[in-house]
Amino acid sequence: MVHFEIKGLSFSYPNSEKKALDNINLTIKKGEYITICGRSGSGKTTLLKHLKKPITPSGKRTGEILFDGAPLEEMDLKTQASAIGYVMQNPDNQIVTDKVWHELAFGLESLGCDTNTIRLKVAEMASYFGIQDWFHKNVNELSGGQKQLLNLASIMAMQPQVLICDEPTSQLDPIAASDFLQTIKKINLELGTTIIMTEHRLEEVFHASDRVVVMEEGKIIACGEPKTVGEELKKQNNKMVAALPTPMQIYYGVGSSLQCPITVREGRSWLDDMLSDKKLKRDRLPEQDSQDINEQAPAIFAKELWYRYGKNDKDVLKGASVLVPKGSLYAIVGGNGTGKSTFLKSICGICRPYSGKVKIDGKNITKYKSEELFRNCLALLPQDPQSLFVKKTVREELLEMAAGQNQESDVMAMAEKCELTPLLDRHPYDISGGEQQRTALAKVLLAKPKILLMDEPTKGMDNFFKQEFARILKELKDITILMVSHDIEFCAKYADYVSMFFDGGIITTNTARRFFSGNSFYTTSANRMSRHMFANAVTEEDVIELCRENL
Amino acid sequence: MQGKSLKRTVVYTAMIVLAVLVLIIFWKFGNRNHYVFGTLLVICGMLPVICGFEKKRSQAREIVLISVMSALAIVSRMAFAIVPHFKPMAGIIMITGMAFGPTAGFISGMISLLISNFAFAQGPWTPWQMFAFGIAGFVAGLLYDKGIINEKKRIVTAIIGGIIVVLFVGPIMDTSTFFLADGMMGDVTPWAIYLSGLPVNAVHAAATVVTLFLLCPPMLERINRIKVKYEI
Amino acid sequence: MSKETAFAQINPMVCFIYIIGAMALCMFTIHPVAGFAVLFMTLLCYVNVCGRVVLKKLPLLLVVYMILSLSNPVFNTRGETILFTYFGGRPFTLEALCYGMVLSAMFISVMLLFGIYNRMMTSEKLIYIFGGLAPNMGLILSMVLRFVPHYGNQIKKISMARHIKEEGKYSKVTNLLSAMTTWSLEAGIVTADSMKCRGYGCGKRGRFSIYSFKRKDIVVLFLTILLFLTVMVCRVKGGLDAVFIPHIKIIGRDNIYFVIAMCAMVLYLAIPIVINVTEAVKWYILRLKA
Repeated sequence: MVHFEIKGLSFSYPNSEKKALDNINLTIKKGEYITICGRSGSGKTTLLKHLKKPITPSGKRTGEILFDGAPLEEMDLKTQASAIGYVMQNPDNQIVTDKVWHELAFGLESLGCDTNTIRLKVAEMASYFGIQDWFHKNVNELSGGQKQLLNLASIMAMQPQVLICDEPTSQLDPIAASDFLQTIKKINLELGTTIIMTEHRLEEVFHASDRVVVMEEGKIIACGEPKTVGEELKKQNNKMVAALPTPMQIYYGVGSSLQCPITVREGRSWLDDMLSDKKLKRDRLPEQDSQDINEQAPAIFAKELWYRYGKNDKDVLKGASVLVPKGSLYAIVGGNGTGKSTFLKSICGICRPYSGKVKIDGKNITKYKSEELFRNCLALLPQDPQSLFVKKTVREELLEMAAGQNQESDVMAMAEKCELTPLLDRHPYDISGGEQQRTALAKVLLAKPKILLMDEPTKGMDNFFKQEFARILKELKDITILMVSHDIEFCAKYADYVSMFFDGGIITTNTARRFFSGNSFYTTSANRMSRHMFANAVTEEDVIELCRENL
Repeated sequence: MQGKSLKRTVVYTAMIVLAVLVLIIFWKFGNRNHYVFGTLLVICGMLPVICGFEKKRSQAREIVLISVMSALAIVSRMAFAIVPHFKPMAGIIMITGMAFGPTAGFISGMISLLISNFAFAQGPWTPWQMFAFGIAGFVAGLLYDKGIINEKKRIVTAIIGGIIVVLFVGPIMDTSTFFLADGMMGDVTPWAIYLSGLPVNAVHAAATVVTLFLLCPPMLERINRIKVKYEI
Repeated sequence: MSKETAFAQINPMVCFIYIIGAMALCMFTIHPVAGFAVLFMTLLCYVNVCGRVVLKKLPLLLVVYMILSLSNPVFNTRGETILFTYFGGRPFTLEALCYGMVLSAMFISVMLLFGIYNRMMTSEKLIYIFGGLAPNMGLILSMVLRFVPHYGNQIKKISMARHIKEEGKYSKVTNLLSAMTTWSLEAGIVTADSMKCRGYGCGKRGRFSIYSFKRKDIVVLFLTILLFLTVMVCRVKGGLDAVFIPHIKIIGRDNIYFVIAMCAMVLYLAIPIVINVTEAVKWYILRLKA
């Protein structure tokens, strides 16, 4: 049975020549799990919004969309509201009311159900999603993952036939994200609901999807089962290969005639099959013999920091210490709620530890005057780029932070470096998420810091943008960077040193390679896939290199 | 649908008639309790706006925008309590009235006071405050529609905002004080109360002038951008 | 307060009507006996509903009461019995003092009832009441309550992000609120989209709430209305008349309407106590049996 049928759909936004969607043809069967991927700006979200009438953007449109054989436009509002569910990206903004129970009932209230029906369905949903424990809570008390689960549950309460998710996990931490994606899979398997999802954590959705659609510049460039899509992309030599799950990237990087692996498990057996009859010539990569971290000149030195938010609260930092060598990119990883962000805040003086000391560039932080500290010395890039924006255009945003006589030229140079030049006259809220992140970075860098602190910088970025972001960071010479992150893959690729933060303090520190090859759970997929063969392969490139040498 | 809206109209009319009846009864037999009488009058004053707003089928965006502006007013009251002479609530409510029309201004005034009083305390003054700030939003909206105040006349707008506080917000709240005091003491002259309220009102008005002077142009500009962008 | 009292669990609409009714009763009572009876009952009620901690506020209440009572004769100089004169002949009369004492009792009772109101009528309950009468207003209330803490967090985030920028107090506030305006409106548009996606505005709305009308609620509502009307009727019949100025004249025990009104009033104000105490006794007995 066909659910959605999209025929020759083209669309362009008002005041824009460029086609946001270009002749899209796609048929979606009932009960299918479809993942749409593509780099940001490829038209994924625009396509999804066309499947939900109330939020379809206005503009020039040709072609048609059929739902259950009838044109979607003719469907009445009420039927479409219940039949097509839509989960958006930001967990916070979708929530309407202040109580969890009210939020669950909101859709059903809109449909005009009577009290008893609503009561039953709300009870059903709360039980199915395990919400009963926080049923009476205020939504503000929930974590990001819980909020997104609540959004999902309140849509599922209307019993939709199709569930559309627009990058639902981009704002969540990895654990909450994989919980969420598992719930989606469960809905698909147990209720037979059709799933149409855009996602950049392909690692977790690729194997679960029935079909994958790849978009570029508003066109569908590949569509089919996960494995065939990989083939197709490889054949086109498309850049999207870099976004595929690690095992597939390694597979295409090595070039093998065996079956293509998708999950880490398949990847392990693929490595086994490929290298089983060969004696390994080399099983480890050379370690750069780095100096002992404690002997280098520190840019940031924090010793035994203790901090709590209120007098009667528990300690958040329990004797946390760190030494960040000058010029290095230092990453702190660790789970949610371990105090990583607080640690970062106390290093830049936003939180004041009640015990311990922080030295910035060899000088105690309490000895700095505020302007001295933040002018040409220390800067913090916040998690949410939007919290930095106060002006009307990108140019004004940047000018606000630049100082001195060369203001204009500084701004232009920075814009050039962060590829913002064509965007200078746009409003910071009118540009895409990735562009906002670049603007925020440029703004912070214009304060010319010697030390840059970053809180969760790669949140919500797709793989391409991460590469670009890393490139910008690499080009910043003489800047010490300390970042806290959940993004293991990013840290493994680009960080010089990695520390594990747990229970209010740093547990262990090492170079990225030693750190990740020493861990067995908290490590990259490339490492998990290859650790039985190679001693210290951490990134895809490492595994590919070692495979090639051994073949 | 027709039936429901008809039913609602009937209910509202009945409510208003009932309120007036209760008013008369209280006036006749209520020991001339001015406070109760006045409060009922104030509530009757708010009813038509609420009824009108309920009867109209409101768009999702309209409801959200009113909520957003009310929340901004409340948050700014709480967050900037430390900044001296900066009482932004009345100012932001007036900006709401200017940007989204008199009714929206009135409703956001009422809601802001009702909810911010949860943080402080509800008391006999709640309905009066709701009404006073509602009127402030309403009047600002009317003046804006007439073109008397707008974001270009920065100083005029700020001063008129101050005048609205002195003419409407202050006196309405003083009236409640008067009625309460009158009920308590008996024989209190209204002028004494209004005069004693003047310094407080003047400070409030000055704070509103400052708020509007600082915030009115940038906030309206940002609201207008949203209006253009999303075709509201 | 961790646990809700039994009275807090009755239907919010009933609770609201009850408290407003109680306030009305207080405000119309200037009869001294009735006034002090009401004060005593509201005090009991307040302690019962809000817990024993409020007993600590008792001295403060007493001071307020004294000040209010003593200040009335200062403003009000009429009355026959002059106790003393001051400021060169301004009289301080017994009648005015008595009147002040009764009025202050009434004032304190109303304040106590507002204390009970603040404890009982949480925002959630107010939304329930509004949702029934004015659904749009109810929805707005609920949304504002959701937005306020959310915006508070965002303000914290923005001011933290702007840590690196030195600026004056007022320009900081202006920048912050301007940024908040854009951010909150953009977020609001998404919220509106999410409402539309979930069918808002596609027809008549249903209603769901965690409160329901139980038999107990109906009984309480019935009693509330009955007792209130009884008092009012007696009052109209002159059962609660009292005149202080120029001389004191009070209706007494010999008037049947006075007796009925007093009983009804005390019963009315005892309703929360009766509900809470019955519940406590029930629990005690249940635990004994177990």
